[in-house]
Amino acid sequence: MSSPREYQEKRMCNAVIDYHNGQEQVMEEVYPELMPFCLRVAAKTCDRYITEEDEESSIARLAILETFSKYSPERGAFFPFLGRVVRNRIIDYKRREKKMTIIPFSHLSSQKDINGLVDDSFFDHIIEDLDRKKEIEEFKALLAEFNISFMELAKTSPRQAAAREKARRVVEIISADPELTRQVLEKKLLPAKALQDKYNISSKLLDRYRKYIIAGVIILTCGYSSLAPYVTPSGGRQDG
Amino acid sequence: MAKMQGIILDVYDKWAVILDTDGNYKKVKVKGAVQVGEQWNGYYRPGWKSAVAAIITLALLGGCLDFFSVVAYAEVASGVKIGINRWDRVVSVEALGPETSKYVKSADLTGQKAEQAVAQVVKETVSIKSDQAMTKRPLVNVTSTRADESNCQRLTQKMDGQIQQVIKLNSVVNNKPGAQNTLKKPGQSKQPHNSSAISPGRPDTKPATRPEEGKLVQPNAWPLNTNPAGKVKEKNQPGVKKDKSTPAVNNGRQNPAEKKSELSGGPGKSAGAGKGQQKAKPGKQLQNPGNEKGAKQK
Repeated sequence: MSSPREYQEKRMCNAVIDYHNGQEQVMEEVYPELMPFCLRVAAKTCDRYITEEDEESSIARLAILETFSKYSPERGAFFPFLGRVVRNRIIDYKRREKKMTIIPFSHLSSQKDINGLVDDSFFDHIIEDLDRKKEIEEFKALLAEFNISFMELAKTSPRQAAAREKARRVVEIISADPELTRQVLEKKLLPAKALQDKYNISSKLLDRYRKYIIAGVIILTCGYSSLAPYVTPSGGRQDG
Repeated sequence: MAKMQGIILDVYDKWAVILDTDGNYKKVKVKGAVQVGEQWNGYYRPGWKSAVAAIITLALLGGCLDFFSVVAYAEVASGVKIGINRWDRVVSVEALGPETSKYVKSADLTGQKAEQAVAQVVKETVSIKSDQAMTKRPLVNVTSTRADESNCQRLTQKMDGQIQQVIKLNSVVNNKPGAQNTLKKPGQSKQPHNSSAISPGRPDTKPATRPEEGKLVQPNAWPLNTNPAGKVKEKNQPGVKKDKSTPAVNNGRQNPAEKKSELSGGPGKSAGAGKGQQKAKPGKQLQNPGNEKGAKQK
């Protein structure tokens, strides 16, 4: 497990212990951290997007309360335990729904079997997704300072593999040079002249893929570990 | 289709922006519930737009090539050769002699229906005279570049109606006293008296002779009447007024049993078997009205 995950796991264990000792306000403090995980588990179980207003969201809240009541460190990691409780309660809710006489049209569509057993890796993936989501949200906020959006990146990123490789080389060059990196982050511009004079990089490449290069520099410079393997010249095939 | 993996960066209605393993930001269509941060596995069709554009271009190119490929030729006796495509449209016009070269340059026949173009050429370039000693050369000769004869027959049948109308019109015009059937060039109503006219089947130009005033021009009747003294029924010429002062013209009703593949240029059919009967040639021919001999003379 990654270091942030270990820290989070330990923090939840301590919160459960405090809750058992009578400090019920501890659950209110950790509730905002646990709710996104519970909603993701519910979404994966139901195979649809779950919001705070859905019925499944209230079931997830009850599952958190049940977890705090029943969990102990001897039962294993906290988050897989919480994930299993949420999933089981969602499944029970779906079974009760099936017994209803009124069948909505949504039931006519093919639905995945939600009764299948899952192991701890199912919840580990969800936790990794949530970690990635945090990094992506920070990345998006930084790009907004450069007036760059993900949609613009999708339109302007290089299509040809050769051009993409050249752009990635420029990203690596800038990231390896602190002075060039400082110019990019502070002035919000690419140091075109320095790159042309020192590294003989064509201005045409810099002009055409400016946004792509800046996004790559931000990813490598700010240490977004989940995104970095995708923008380095060697190419990331697996998530870091 | 190629498999693609990536991380979902942003989610819209049915679309998402992903960062794939090649470092490419892409907009992809997603199904089901996907959320930011999830790993995405899907397929994409690389260059499908180019493929569609190439297919459309090839289809247009094929259509153009097909449109401009000649499958049959219609050679008018005046010296104009018209190339016809499989859609019965004119795709080429060629002058076979210096007399018609000017006409071919000025006339815009490309793209017209074959039967209309041939009728127009006949109307504007062929001088249909009452001269009984016309050449035996057919008015329009249809040849096919393909081996089957059905194409020639079909084109001949199509052109027959139009040519018949042209001949009828010429017959009506020529019936008027002092009327002169001369070469008509586009934009010109009559030619000067000393201009050259192209008679069907006569490549060499000869000065047109104006009929003597008062002398009626013989109506154009099909087939050619070799015995002007005999009276002939004119049932097949509804547009022609019967003139008792003129010698009767053989209607030249064709014997159905002896019907040839040659196409006559005037009302009635071409002559049946007999002396001087033209043998069926590989191409289909529209006979010159002055060239026909009636099977029966009445």
